Amino acid sequence: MDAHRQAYREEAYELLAELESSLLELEETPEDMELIGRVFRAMHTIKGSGAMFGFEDIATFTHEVETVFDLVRNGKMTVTRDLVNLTLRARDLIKGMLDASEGGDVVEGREAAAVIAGLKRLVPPPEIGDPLPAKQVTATDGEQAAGGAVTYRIRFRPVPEVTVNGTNPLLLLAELRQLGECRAVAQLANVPELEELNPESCHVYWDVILTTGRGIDAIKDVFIFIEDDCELKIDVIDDGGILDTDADYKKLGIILAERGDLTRQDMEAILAKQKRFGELLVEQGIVHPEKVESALVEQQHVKEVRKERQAQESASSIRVPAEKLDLLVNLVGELVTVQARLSQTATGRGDALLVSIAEEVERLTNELRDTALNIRMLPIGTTFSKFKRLVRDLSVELGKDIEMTTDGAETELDKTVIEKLNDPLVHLIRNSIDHGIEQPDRRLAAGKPRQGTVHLAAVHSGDSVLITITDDGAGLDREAIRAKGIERGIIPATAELSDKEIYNLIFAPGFSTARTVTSVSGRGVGMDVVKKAIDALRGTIDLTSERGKGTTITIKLPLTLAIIESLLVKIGDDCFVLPLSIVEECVELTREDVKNAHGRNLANVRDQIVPYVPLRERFMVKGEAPEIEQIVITQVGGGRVGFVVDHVIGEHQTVIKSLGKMYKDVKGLSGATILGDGSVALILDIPHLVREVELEQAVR
Amino acid sequence: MDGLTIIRREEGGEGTLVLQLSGELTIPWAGEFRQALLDAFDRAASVVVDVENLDAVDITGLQLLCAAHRTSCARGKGFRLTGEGSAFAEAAGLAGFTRHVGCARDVGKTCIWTGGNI
Repeated sequence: MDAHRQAYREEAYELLAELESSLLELEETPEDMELIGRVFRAMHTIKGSGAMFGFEDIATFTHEVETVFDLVRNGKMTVTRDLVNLTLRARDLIKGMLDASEGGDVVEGREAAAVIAGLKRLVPPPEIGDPLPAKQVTATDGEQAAGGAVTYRIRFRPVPEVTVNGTNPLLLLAELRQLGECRAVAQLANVPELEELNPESCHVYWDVILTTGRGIDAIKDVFIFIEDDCELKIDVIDDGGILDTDADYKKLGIILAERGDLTRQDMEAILAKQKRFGELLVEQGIVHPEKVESALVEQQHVKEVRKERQAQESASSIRVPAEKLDLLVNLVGELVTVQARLSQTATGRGDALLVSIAEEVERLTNELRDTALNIRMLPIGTTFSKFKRLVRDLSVELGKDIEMTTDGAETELDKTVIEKLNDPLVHLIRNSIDHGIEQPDRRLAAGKPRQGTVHLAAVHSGDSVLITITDDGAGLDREAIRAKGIERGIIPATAELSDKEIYNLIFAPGFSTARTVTSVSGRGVGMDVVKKAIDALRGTIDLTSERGKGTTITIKLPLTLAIIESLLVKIGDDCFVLPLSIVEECVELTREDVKNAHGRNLANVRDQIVPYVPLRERFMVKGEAPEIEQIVITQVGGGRVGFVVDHVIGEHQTVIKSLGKMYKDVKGLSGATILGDGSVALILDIPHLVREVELEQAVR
Repeated sequence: MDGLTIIRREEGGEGTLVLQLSGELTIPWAGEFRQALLDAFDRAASVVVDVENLDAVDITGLQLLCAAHRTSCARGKGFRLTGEGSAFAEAAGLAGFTRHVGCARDVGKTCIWTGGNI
């Protein structure tokens, strides 16, 4: 596949996403000219580059849609719901065409024709005296197609007879002015005194600095009729930003030398004196003051052009394939591991010099790690805007009136996390819309506003991100869930459960209500799948609900999947790792304590009872436990649970390695890491372990 | 109005001659204007050209004024413009005659294109 076509496709997908979000916003604020402009520009770019890279169908189709939006942009049409609907459909068709070029289903020509016909019906008949819409579009085309502006230096030296022959040089200058920003400097050095002057000849020549996007041919066209009557030299002095990197332009001397107005020797001789260069040149009589003047004009002009462009580009970015970033993060991960080994070895040797080098390496590695991870961060807003469309389409389908609001779209999350978060969020939002928000009449009857709201918010909280989905719908039916839980055998009929425990039942496997619902959320996927997906991201999911008021689902996710701060512990000869974020404290557990607990795994921590899990038993590690064991107390799902280990080694920076396909069914472990000495430590999946133990207890 | 009209008038009694121009300072009338300027420099110590009522100016007109200034420098006479109206200012700007410093011959710093008032 042609790299350019590929690049175009990537850009087009981005533009389509932007188009969609702009359209949805536009629906809310139809008067917003900036949004209309954004929609128009997105379409214009899709069309323009589409034609350039051989996506003729896209270019032709988009052109039609763009034409309509041009009318909107010029205030000849207003934004209506119909227009937004049709444009959204058009956007989907364009996406279909893009997909088709990559082997997707071919878009039906009929569909495209229907959308265009629909759009054309919306166009009001042109008022008398109005220019034709098509004409307006071509005008914008000419302007845009030319691309970046280039600055030229034109030395235009007509023969003296040029005026006698009937040419007016000023008209030519006026034509140049039409092409772009233009500064002309007349060179008057050859103008004689009156006595010697032939009043009908032209003794003046010009240096013109012109910035234009129309290309060198357009400039040559200006002079086409007097080609033989003039000396014309056109140089590119600023290429529109392809080659230059800073806003400064050439020094005066260089400009003069380039023009052939000053020799390099003269320039260097003058430079040696280090006074103001232009003044010196004039003082020494080497260059006429007006030539200096002209060169200064060029310098100023280009400086300004570049400054302007640099201001525009300061917010620019480069496009890098995601695999390259993944590779970088992997390498950094390896480096972190090796660095840990280095530090460990250095400390062991007791060589002061080695230790100081190791510390330096550690500092650099940490910075490198943070930077590398940061590159992978993306704002979650792109995902949010996708959901806006989802909410809109679903609410239309279900005949509900639902508005989606978002907050914290700028919150950054690891790219992989965002990708994997998409499906669970879609499912949760579908649920909110389908089961949560009531039909408009029922809402009104309940004294709520007709329009329901789904609020999606993201916020940073320590080393995690909290994503909340809040709806103002009916809330969960506590009793119905409880009944179903009993019916499905998930909870015993006699169980006394808190609200929270009951609500969390909907995440239990086998609780799925999929069979009883509409096409919207009835895709055979239960909430347990959502929970599993969030668990896989090492996140947690939590739900609160109030009958009649609404439901809030909170997802807590780690910032990154690649590296975590963790606590390294030892059981027997094996090392294990617990994520530090959930560790609260470590306390000692003596044989005496165990004996006093009478076989129940409960510890008394400052007069509070904390249940614990003896990992030595659980993992069936051979050998005898030490006299004094350690309980690592963690905070899981609102409760405190301890894990008994032999020794706590200390904090550790863990580069997470997956266990691989072979061990994908192993429960209670979420991955592995390589320690400084090269040995492997397993990462404990604490929430899973807690759940497992809880289930066992419940059965007992 | 066709052609160039030159009205001559003495001013201040100190040998200043004002050439008040109206109409078109363009190539057909360039020869006539050149002669008028030469005559003026022969007669007066200082020449002022009033360009306020000009409807059109072309390159030969601008060039003539520049040459006249050079002559004044060479002969040690005064020369200046007055009433730089819109047609004149537009032509001088378009032609790129306006500048910050005068030419090498402009020893008395009397260049008619400097000063930014055109």
